[in-house]
Amino acid sequence: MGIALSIIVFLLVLILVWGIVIYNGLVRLKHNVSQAWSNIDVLLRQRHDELPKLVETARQYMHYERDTLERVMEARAAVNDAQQRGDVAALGGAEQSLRLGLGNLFAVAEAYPELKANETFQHLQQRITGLENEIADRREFYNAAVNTNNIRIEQFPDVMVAQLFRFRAFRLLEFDRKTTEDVDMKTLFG
Amino acid sequence: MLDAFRDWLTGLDSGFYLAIWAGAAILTLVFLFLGFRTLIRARIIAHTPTSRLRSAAQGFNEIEGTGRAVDDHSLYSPLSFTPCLWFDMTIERLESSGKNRRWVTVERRRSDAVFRVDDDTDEAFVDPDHARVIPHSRRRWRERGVRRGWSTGSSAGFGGQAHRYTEQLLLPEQPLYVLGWLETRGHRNDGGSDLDAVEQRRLDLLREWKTDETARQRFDLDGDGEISEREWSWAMRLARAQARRDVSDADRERVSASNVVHLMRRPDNGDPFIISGLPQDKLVRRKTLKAGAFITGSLVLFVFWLIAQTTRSVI
Repeated sequence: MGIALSIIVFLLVLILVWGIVIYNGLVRLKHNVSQAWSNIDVLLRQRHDELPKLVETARQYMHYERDTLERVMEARAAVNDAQQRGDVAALGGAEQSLRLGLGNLFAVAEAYPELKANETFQHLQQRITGLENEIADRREFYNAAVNTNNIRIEQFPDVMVAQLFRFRAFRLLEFDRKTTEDVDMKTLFG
Repeated sequence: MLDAFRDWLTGLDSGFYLAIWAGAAILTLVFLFLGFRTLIRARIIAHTPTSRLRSAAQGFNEIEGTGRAVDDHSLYSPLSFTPCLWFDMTIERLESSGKNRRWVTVERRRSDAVFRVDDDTDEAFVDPDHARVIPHSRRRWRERGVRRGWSTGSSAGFGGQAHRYTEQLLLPEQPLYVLGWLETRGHRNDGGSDLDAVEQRRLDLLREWKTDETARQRFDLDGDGEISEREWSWAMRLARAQARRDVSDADRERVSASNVVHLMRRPDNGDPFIISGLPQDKLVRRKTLKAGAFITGSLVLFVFWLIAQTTRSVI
């Protein structure tokens, strides 16, 4: 075998190994996205279980705020539905509605001193606020994982391996813009 | 030039020629392995999203924060007595026999003390055992004799044998990057944790600011009399930062008695465990360049081996 041919074979081996490295990297990215989604899923389930307790406690004091409480429960059901279907777009919208509903509930609760003094309510409020923060962080984490995956499968040379093995892009978890526009900052901060 | 190289190979002693031939083949494979391993690591670092400690899932995570000593008691490096989080030190002695001079390692020590990384949302203990550490500072210097008081017990001062000292340090209160396995012990949001205390303080602060006209003006960055989403987000961040500071100042005992402890350690599944004083982007660039150098090196060695193979038949 001539020198030139041997060098070509060596280069082909290099390219093959590089291809394997790229393939394994893309598999890792795909799993990063699924894992990031599962991490959000766990917290959504925890919050799903906590919310009825919060609403039930609030209901005992807030006799004239049925609409506020029902809106929270409706949003909770919508989040759960989107979560079950794995519908990222719908989940973004439902999640934002739930956040708004909870924001309203906590704002209205300020007018009920007995409810505010209730230890169970305080504990649940803290717990749910903590879960909200964690969900927000994990949403960012999920979006970062999706973003890395989506960029990688379009970049050269990864795009060749991605197209050959049909790696797909994932959807970002975004809050519904229309819902975001409806946020009344005065009610949150005034 | 190629002909001169071939002539040199032809004139070599058979044993030496065989050693060169085998050495080139082995080094080609070793460089190839190191090159791809470094490339895989660079990609893992680049592809792993950065987690926040307060919400990080259990398992393989990447954290960026500030390195801190446990309980504010810094470790001191044994050679320069610099306060540090981690050190790696080597003392070598220059040995001469005839024309040959070589450095012989007299002592090597590596710190295994645990330290903390704080990413502004929470903090984790880092166990540096088996970590690949990229230090904040690396120094090498020479002295005659061994430093006074050092354990090796050689004569001190000038006139003794030449010694070479190498010290690598991770420094406190400096940016720190950690890639490894995160474990959380205890339960989150279970009454009495520092997270609850911080969250409570944050809510109190926001409530105070709501009724304080001066505070409202402070957050109204564009001065339009209303708090926009961006301004609200800024107020929330500021409240969280101030709450953390207030809690750690006023309630230190309670924080240290927190029932939530995060620990970063070496992954059991073969994933890399990296602690770096370099920021992530520089680390990726450095590793990618290193991988490129190894792979190019393997190609050069392969060509060398090939020429050796075709010049003289070994087998």
